[in-house]
Amino acid sequence: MSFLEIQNTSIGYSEPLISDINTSLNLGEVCLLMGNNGIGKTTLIKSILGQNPLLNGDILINNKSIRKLNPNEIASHIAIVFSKAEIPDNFTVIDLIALGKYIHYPYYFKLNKDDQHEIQDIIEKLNLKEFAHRKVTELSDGNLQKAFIGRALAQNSPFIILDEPTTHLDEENKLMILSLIRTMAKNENKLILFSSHDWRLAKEFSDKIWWLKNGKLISGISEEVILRNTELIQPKILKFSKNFHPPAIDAPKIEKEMMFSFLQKNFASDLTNFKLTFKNEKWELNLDDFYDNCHSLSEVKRSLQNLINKGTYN
Amino acid sequence: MKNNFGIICFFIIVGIIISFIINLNVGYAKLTFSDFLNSERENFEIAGFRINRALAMILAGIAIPTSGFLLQEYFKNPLAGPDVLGITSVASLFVAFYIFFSQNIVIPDFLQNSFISLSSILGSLVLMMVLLLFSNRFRDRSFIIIFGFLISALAGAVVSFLQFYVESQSLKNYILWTFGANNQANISQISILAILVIIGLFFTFKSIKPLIGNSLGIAYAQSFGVSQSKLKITIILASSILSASVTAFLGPILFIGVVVPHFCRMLWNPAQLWHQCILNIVLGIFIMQVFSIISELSQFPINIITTFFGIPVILLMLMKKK
Repeated sequence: MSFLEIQNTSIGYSEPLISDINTSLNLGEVCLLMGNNGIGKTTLIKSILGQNPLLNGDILINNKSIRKLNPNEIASHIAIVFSKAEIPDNFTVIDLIALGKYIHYPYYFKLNKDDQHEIQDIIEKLNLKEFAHRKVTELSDGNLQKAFIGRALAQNSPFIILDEPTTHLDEENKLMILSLIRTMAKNENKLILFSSHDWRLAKEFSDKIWWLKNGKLISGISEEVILRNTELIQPKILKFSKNFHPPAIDAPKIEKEMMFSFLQKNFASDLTNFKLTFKNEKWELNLDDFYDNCHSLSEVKRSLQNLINKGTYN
Repeated sequence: MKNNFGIICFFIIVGIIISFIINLNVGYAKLTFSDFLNSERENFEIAGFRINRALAMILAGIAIPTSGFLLQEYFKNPLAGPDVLGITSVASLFVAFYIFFSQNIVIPDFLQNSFISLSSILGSLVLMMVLLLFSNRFRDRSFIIIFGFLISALAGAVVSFLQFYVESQSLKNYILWTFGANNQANISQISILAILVIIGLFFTFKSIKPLIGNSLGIAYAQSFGVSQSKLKITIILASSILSASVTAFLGPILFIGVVVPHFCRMLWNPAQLWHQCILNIVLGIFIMQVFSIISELSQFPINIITTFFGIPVILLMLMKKK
């Protein structure tokens, strides 16, 4: 019997987003969850956590149905790392990682000696020792992500879910987090499920892939899933007409998300893997490269200016 | 680290003991030790008043800062205070109703105080019921604050309206009550207040762990098993009972609920809510003893003292934040 079993399940809100999910995962495995924005990755994660009611079917964790488990019991089986969190002003790194022990204490007054040592071990394992007493607001993105993962480790749950853990990180930190994830799975026999847009990199660290596409979940061993779905490998070219005008460079508060939603509103198709060039009097757009390489508002503005002036992404 | 916290508390408790003793010795009459123990002594009654006053200040020092601390943590707003839910305003409104409408009825003196307390409790209970009943509708936390603000404004408007039509003695009685000049509670009132404060503390202690669970936001809180609706109810009950009971017996006491939690955050790691809760209680007791001494020496009502002290501190806080 697998650790996580999803049986005939549909997830969603009033309408199902993904239906007829039948799949399973075992301890010691790393599974990559991929799919376009809005397809239901976070909804699936919340459904597994028991935070969204299932429309159909059942999810079993260690042979117990999540419909019958209370939040504390679910938390003892699953630890979560969300992509966004409120960062408390006054927490130190130790305070944050110690929150992993929250469910183990009825009043959470004070940690016992064993737990305090365990937290110190986790801090050393994650190379956060020099930051242990610093406020979390002072940490870099990579270290902050490590601290949140440390919190999930401290919870001692056999299953860890990470919702887009590498999205805001540079290449070096992405590699670091991905290899940390793989080490946690293999050395501590944990089941790891994580979502990522950067599937080309993430698949190298995953045993399995869950791909949400067209309202269904396609699952399998990572290499097979990639090979079977060749559209993943070939870049798509979205051709715009000459009359396409991106939002003005000096438009106030232009942000990546606004640009993305503007494009998505105007072009209903899948917007990953696009390359923007001006070729044969037509615009072609690659959005993937665009997001990976822009880390600030000024970079976004500069890149858009390049797009419009030279017609190629720089 | 734990030792440091113990040391801080130890020094504050020493301060409490010293200020308590000073408080018992401050006043018009000169008392000796035996005045407190021997009921045959002439000054026994005065000694009783002083003990009641000191005890009342202990209870106020426990209740009001704790109420403010809970609301500041729940709303993540360092300027929240016990009046943010509108409790103090509605309690004052009901007291105003009582004082102004009883001006034509002869009520014996010894019942006056009790009826004032009863009106205040009644008003607070009514508002508390309204808040609890509507707590499901308050999906957004800030809506409760807005609701409290509107209720306070409405209550204030009604009181102003009433003030037009009353005779000056009633008006003065009401105003004196709002100054907290009515802090002469007798021993049975103090006992009732103590019981109410203990009940309020019970709900307070129940809400500390869920408040800690909220630190990373609602999504994480849900994954930790924190029930937002249960927490909302516990916070409303705890802060209402604590502030309403003190307001009922001692009149409204302002600013302490905002300022004491602020000092506690300066003294110890603000993330450790249990430590903050304990600090608020001991520091609150100490500060109220000191204010009580100043109030007796200067003959100003307690709210004048807390206002003169509280406003500059809050201004400094705001300036530091910028």
